[in-house]
Amino acid sequence: MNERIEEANPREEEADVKDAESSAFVAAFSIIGFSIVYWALQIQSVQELLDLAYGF
Amino acid sequence: MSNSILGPYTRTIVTIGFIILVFGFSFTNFRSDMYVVIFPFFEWMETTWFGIIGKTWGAAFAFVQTIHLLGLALLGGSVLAAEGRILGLLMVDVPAKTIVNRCHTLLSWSLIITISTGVFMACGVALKIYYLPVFWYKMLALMAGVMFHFLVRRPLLEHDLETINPIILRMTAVSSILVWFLVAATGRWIGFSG
Repeated sequence: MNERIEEANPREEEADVKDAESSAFVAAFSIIGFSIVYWALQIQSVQELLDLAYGF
Repeated sequence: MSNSILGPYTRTIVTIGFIILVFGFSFTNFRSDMYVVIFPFFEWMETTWFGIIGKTWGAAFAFVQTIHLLGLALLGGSVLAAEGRILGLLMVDVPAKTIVNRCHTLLSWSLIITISTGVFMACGVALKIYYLPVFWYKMLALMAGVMFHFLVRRPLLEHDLETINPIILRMTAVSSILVWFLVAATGRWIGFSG
């Protein structure tokens, strides 16, 4: 019984790491993707304003 | 294996569900419906003691705002120190786990400071911020940051850092910096709006 629990623990730990890794990957991918789009749009709107104000 | 009904990838499924929920809330009519429903709450905020003190006594507002900004500086410092160490950019002679754990405590305290002082400040200018789109961006970014830190990043970094995929570790560090940068930037943006 104890041997079985000891065997299961490293496997459970490994599965837990895999789950935490994949959830971090999904969240990080969403945040990085969103940030790229959001800041690109912000920079573009500033460029358009500068273009309207100074013509460059 | 896992005791959860969602199987061994419970955290991943919950994370995907939460991301769909946030994007669904942001890009559907549900957001504008909530915007109308929540208006009386903002009216009430201005009538509270915090609201009256914040509106009538400028020195009190300035004092609380100073603590709010110091809390924000503490938050930014703890994020940059922890993520900088994970990315291998600073304090490489100190074990990463030590810095990550200490910065987590610091970040938790700085969040308590910034949120409690932020509530006071919001009461003083409740109706002004209600009409500012950037305030709602900040709230969404703050919610995303808190959720990301406590439900995704923290459970990942509780494991031995050597066992974690280095690319995912670096992606987590970069996204942590990005999300807290967005919170700080939109926070300062409120000061320059309206």
